[in-house]
Amino acid sequence: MPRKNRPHILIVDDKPDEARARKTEIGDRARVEIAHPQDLTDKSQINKADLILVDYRLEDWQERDSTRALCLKPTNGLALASILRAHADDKENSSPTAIAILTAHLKELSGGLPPEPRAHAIARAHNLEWAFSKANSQRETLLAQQVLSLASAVRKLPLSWPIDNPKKSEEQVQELLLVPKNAVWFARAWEEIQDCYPPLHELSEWSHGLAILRWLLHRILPYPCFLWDSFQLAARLRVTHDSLEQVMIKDSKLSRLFKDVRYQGILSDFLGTRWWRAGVESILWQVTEGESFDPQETFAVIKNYAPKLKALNLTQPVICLDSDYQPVNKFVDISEAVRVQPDGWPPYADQAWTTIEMARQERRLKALVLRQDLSKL
Amino acid sequence: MPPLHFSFQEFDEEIDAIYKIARSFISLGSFYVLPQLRERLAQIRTAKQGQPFGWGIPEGQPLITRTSNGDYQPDSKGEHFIYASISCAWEIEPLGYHNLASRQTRKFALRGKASTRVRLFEGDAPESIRELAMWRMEVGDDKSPGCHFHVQVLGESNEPPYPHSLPIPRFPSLLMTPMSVIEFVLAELFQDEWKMHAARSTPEIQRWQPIQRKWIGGLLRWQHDKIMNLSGSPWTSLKGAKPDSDLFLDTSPYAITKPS
Repeated sequence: MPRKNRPHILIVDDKPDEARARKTEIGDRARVEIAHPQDLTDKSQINKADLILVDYRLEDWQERDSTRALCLKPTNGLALASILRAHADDKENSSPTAIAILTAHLKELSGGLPPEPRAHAIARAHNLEWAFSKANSQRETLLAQQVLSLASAVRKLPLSWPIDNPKKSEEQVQELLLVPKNAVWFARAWEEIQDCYPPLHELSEWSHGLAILRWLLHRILPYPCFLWDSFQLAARLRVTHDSLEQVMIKDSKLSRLFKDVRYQGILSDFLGTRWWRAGVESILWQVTEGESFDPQETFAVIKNYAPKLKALNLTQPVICLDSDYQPVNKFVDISEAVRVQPDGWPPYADQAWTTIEMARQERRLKALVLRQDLSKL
Repeated sequence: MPPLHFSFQEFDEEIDAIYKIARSFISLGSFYVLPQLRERLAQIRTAKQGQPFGWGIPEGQPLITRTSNGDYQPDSKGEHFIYASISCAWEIEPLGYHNLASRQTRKFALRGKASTRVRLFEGDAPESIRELAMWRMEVGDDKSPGCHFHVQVLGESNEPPYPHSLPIPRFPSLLMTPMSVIEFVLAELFQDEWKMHAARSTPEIQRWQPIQRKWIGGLLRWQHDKIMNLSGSPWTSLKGAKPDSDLFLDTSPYAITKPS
């Protein structure tokens, strides 16, 4: 990465020494500055940052503790993040700055529910771009990759948005998402993006870039919409998720078939691989010569690209969520599933499902089952 | 007679709207039928002109409604517990350029068959399922003796009534797209409930309404014109009338785009 394009990350932590491991993991892929909250005295520290990572628990902060004015005492990282947000939004700031919380105590913010699957919801509820969980040593690399991905995405945001020119505004979004303009499925992909209400029209110039980022982070990547993850791809191909993952992880004939429809835009490495739904459908249509809705025909053709794929012997496979809202690795037939409406599930996302069995067993899931499907329980 | 032309965009909107309007009347097992129908149309929309495609809901994977517990009669007084199975087969050819600029206005031509089959069944266990009725709503071609938009009953087996060898009568119809037929069937199966459901002003109904007004209104205006400008018997004139290819497009002299 050219030096000038390297993102700038500011880590605000009451224990700066603990943050150094993170800086080491990121290496020279970004400029990383670590500061104790008390040492943030120069506004340019905030302004030049693409991403500010704020520690949630702020215990070692003597100056704060000794003051009596409550309004000068941010009790935790969320309060501090709000103050930093106000500074970052200041008109003197010539570029957008994302703010994320970093904590080993994400569960405190998730209402007792498993926090990692809800990082996007926690962030959305607290006016943050993301909520990172401090990782154990095995996951430190993944955390560093996500932090870098987010900071790099902010770096790529244009400095100005032609808010009075909707056409240009749309083009900027297309460039950020790298929608392949020459692909035969471009128009379809763009229509599907528009169906997910990207914040194109009514936001101010400053919030604009971050609004797009938040839309992707909070409302698109965690849900099945115009981008598909490996679960949706496997269900569409009617193969088991495990067998697809094993094939796609390698440079295989099948991974090459779908290479051009892999999402490459901003944040493409944030939550794992995604594929353009419109692109996948277009490829299936081509390779099956218009028979892409015949499950047997589709599998027969796809099997030529990856003989090790295992077929799903289900009439209509659906992806089911468990009580943590995580997709269950094993698909079930639609006849064994019921529709659920988890809180915050976008209306434009594909229908969420769970198994009848899980809905019967888990009270939390049962509460989410659509009224029309309750009779199946 | 040139083939009828339709707008891809209007069909796309029509499928999406009926999918959302009719969701609670469709069996869960058929949840993906309409999205797949829409996706198939989207793929044909990106294809080059010159090649006809089969488009529809396969007979083997039909759209199944939920069961009507006698709701086909007012006050749910019907004696059967029935559900409908709907499939359709159209042969269409995309017209014009398939580039981005022409996408919104792209049309397709009806190149052959345009038939939507409705079957009514009773019973839920496989051994007790009984077919109670079957009819097809079809669009004729230049050789068909009329009516151009018609309904045929049974006619698929060699046994009477309505054996295959007897392709009459062709009852006149006002509905021709598979999506219009879905509404027709739901309105029959769930008399009171559908009436209330379709009378609401939801975003989906607001999208559905102008398209249906255009299809039905255009057809009625055209029929009106045929019986007003004729010599001879009005019915016979109407029976033999063949529409121009743009009957359902905005360019048609019979087009209704806004309520009067």
